[in-house]
Order: sequence, then structure tokens, then C-alpha cells
Amino acid sequence: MIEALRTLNQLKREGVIKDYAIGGGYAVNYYLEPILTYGLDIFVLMTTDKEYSALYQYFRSRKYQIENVYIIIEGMPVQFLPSFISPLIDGAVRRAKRIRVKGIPSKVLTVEYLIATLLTAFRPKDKMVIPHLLEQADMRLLNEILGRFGDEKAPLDNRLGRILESLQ
Amino acid sequence: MRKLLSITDSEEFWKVFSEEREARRKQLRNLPLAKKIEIVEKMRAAQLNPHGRLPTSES
Repeated sequence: MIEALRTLNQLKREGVIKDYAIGGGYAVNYYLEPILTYGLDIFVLMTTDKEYSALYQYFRSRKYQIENVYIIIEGMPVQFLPSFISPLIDGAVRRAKRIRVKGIPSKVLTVEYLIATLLTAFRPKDKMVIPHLLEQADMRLLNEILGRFGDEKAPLDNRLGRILESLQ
Repeated sequence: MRKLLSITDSEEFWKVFSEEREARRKQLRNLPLAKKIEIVEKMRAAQLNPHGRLPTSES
């Protein structure tokens, strides 16, 4: 994981990606107690699919193993989620929190953006961790994010409401 | 744990059990990310190990 972060920072220095932030299970691990997580979800700032192809080409040319959507970086399966597929990802990376992991600079999604991305995916495992993350969230900010990025296909505020109802 | 073993009343047992679990969660939650990553990596290694054991320093 640490080596994967070093590689991501190298990608940033070389201009292959503009910026990135840790999302998914490892971001949940940042805020909560450790849970088993298969891979590292990295949200990247990218405006076109050409940049996304260039990212995969970067790893292919360096003989990195690629399995399905995962690029294996120093033993860690890493999935890249580009910001051009969703304004929520774009906002999440731009407002991510700066952290250091064993001295390595990195960024992690804020708890409010993390909850919004989990509400988008809305799998059983996401629904389980959201109540615990809510304890650390600024609800006013969260509601603003959900209102801004939710739509008919993914009614984020409605999904949050269902989770809150289930807690009563 | 010792306290739990000495409880005979079921209601009291679950009350203490929940309190201890929450305390442990809180303790784990406050660990630095690097330490949490170490724990997750041990979990992943144990899952990949067909015998379900944590790898030892010899493995």
C-alpha cells in the first residue's frame, strides 16, 4: 500500500495524473476501525478518456500486471476512477483531505464525500459502514453535497433517508 | 474479557459485551492509518493463506 502511494505520487510528478485521492475501503479504514479490503480505489482528476488510456499505457509499458480493472502496483490491486465519469468524483478529489502515511504525502476523501460515493455505489457493504461514518460527518455539508450530486438514477438524499430510517 | 466470563445474567452479559466491543472499536478507530493498513494487510494475507492462519515471521 505504501509503495502504491509512492507510485501514485510519481505519476503526479510526471504529469500522468493531475491529482488523486484515496476512496473506497481504504478511505473507510482511515475513518473507522480496520476492515478487510481487497483493493485500493483511487479517484483521479482527469478530463478525457485519452488521459485514462494514457494511464493504462504507462503501466502496460512498464510491464505492470493488469487484472480486469485492477493494476497491480507493488502487490496492491489498484482501481482508478476518473473524474470525467462523474462530477461527484471531481468534487471529491478537489476537496480531499491532505494526509501523510508513514511520511508519504497523500490525500483521502473527506468523510462527507466518502459517504456520498458510498451512497452512489449503495452495495450492502456500503450501507453497513455509512451509519458509523455519519458519526463523524458534518450533516449540513453532507446534505449540500447530496443535493448537488444526486439525481433520479442515484437519489443520494433519498438513500441516506432510508439508512437513517432503518436506524430508528 | 475476564469480567464477561464471570457474568451469568444474559442481559448483563450483552450489555457488557456491547460496551467492550464499542471500546475496542473506538481504540482501533483512533489508530494511525499506517497501523490500520498493517492490520488490513495481515487480514488479506490470512485470507490468501489456504489454512486461514496469519503468516508467521518464518512464512
